[in-house]
This record gives sequence, structure tokens and C-alpha cells, in this order.
Amino acid sequence: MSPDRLLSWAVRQLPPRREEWGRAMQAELAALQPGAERWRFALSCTRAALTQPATAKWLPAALVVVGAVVLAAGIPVVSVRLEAFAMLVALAAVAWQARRMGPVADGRIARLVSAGSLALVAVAALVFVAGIRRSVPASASAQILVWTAMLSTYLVAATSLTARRTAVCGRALATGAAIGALAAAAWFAVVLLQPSLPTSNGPALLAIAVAAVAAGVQSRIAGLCAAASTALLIAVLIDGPLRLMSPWVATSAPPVYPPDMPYRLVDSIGVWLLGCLFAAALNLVLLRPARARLSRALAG
Amino acid sequence: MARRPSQQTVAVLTALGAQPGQWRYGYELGKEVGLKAGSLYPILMRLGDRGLLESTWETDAPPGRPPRHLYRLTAAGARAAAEVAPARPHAAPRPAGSAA
Repeated sequence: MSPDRLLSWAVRQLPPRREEWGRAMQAELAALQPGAERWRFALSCTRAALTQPATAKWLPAALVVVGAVVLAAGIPVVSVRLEAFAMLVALAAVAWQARRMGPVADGRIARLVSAGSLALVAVAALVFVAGIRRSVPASASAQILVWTAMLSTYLVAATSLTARRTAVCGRALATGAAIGALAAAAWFAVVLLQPSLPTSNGPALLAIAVAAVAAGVQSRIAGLCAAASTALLIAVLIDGPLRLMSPWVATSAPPVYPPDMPYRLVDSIGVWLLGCLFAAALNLVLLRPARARLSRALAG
Repeated sequence: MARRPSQQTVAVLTALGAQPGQWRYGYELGKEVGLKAGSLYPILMRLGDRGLLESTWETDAPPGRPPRHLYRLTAAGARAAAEVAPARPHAAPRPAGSAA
């Protein structure tokens, strides 16, 4: 590690509108003679870059990682605990690699969608690990594998959709995210009025389909974004708030169907997998041009 | 400015206001006002955001070194510096420093 590499890394964390200031710090560093002063300057600039309000997003990410590690450490079965740690390492590696797509695009919509979708994925990971910790299922290993793949797909989709490099237009992003949120909100509102709805995946699938078609009129990316975000939101609602509300019971616990609690929630894995398919399709659409450019560059 | 600037901001404004037409670069400005880069650059960013500071890139950088970013006050910045300077004449040590 050198002062230049440290500062170069810190500057990459800056939001686009602060890029020029990052280059200014690097140019000043380049003008300094080798020695302790270069390190002091680089460290001080790194502090300035990382504590910029728009850069300090690493703090919630660090809290999520610490929370997930603490939750995983409490899993009673050693082999499952190790697999949960491996899952967290894999997700962190995917998130780290996804950052290579560059900073989030300019504009409030891209930042909002990026922060919102990453927060949802983080919540999903925490809820999943907490569930495994509470009660280790027989299929824990398979579940950890599936969830690692699903959350990784969502992570890449959230990053590629909002990265400046992939240049998704703000209108498609806004349409997809807004219609996705509306569809999920409508599903939730109807569910509150009619508690028997989330006992089946049917209404959720309908909401996802309607969102995909409504946003798909604008563009293919908007449609895929709407479908993936609707599925993600509904799945999180099933796994989170609904389990905590009295009219519903989870699919896995308590193991005996309580007669006084008539509404047993559907297993959300179907919605998760469907949303994941849409997220994977989004990745294919968004990352194909980048791969093609890379291939052309390598061939040329 | 909507509210009273911090003592460090006043020091930067005062230093830049002492030679209003001259372009300055960050490292030397920081040395002059006794601020580390971690404090100086956020102040410069805020001054730039408020239209009090303008910047440009060095045009005569020697070979092998990237051009540095240079700063000076805008007209609004010069007015702000004039407003705050008399209130805190000894805001920061001001050893002789020069521009790029």
C-alpha cells in the first residue's frame, strides 16, 4: 500500500459531483516529496473523502456486516454457522466486485433506487440469518446456497441498474422503481383488508405481472426493474412485517397449525425466485453491452 | 452567508481574501492557515458550492506531474471575506505564503 493507492481508493468512493476534488487531492499528493508528509496528506485526504455526506454510505454497510456476523455467530450448529459465514463472505465479495461498475449515476432517482434496493437486500440477508439462528432447518445448507445466489443476483442487479457506466436513463429507472413500489404497496394494502390473500402466491404473482406490463410499456428495462422490485418488496413484506402481525403465522413456525390463527403465510421462496429471475434478466440486458465492448476491445 | 462561518472557514476566506486575484493551491493554503487537508478540502468544497470560490487547473505543470487544482475567491467570495475578516482579525496564523 502506498499513499497514492490509498488516496486513489478513497477518491473512487466520492460521488460523481466531487470527482474533480478527488483529482485535485491526487494532484497535490503527486507534487509532494516522498516521506511521512505524503502519508499524512494522503491519510487526511482519505478522511475528507470518506466523511463526505454522500460517501459515508459505508457506515450502514459496516453495521449490516457486523450485525450479520453477530447473528451468524449465534447459530448453534457449527457446520451451518460456518456455511452462514461463507455466505456473508460471498455476498461481501459480490458487493465489492459489483462496485467495479463504478459510482452511482448522477441524480436523486439513481441514488434513491440504489440505496433502497441495497437496504432491502441487506434486510433480507439479516432476516434469513436470524431465521436460521432461531431454528436450524434440516435443509439449512441448501437454503444458504440458494439465498447466496439469489441475494448476489439482486446485488449485481441493483448496482448495474444504478451505475453510471450502464447509463440506464433516469426515466426508465424512475418508472420501474415507482411502479414496482406502487404494485407492492397495493398488494400490501389489499392484504391488510383481506388477510387470506398472502396464503397463496397468486395475488403476488398478479401484482408482479401487472407491474411488469405497466412499466414494460415504457421500456424493457423499466418492465424488468418493476417486476424485480415488486417481487423483492412483496417477499420482504411476507418475511418481515406480516410475520410480526397477529392475523398471520409463518409457514415454518410454529410447527403445529394453531386453530385460533387462521392465516398461514405462503412460503415466500416462490416470489423470491421469480424476482431473482427478473433481476438476472436485468443483469443480462444491462451487462451484455459492457461484455460486448470488452470482447471487441480484446479482439481489436 | 446564511449563518456565521466557522473559525476555520474564516481563516481560509481571510487567507484567500488577502490576495484576491491570485490563484492558490490547496497544500500551500492549508499550510498557511494551519489546516490539514482533511479539514481544508471540505471547506473549499463548501465555498465552491456556495459560489464563493472558483477553481481552475494549473497550465504550466512540469512534466511527470499532473496539474494541480488552483483556487481563488469569486467576487461574492471576496465580499464574504471582507465581511468576516474584521470580526476575527487573528483567526489563524498567517505566515507568508505564496501562490502557485
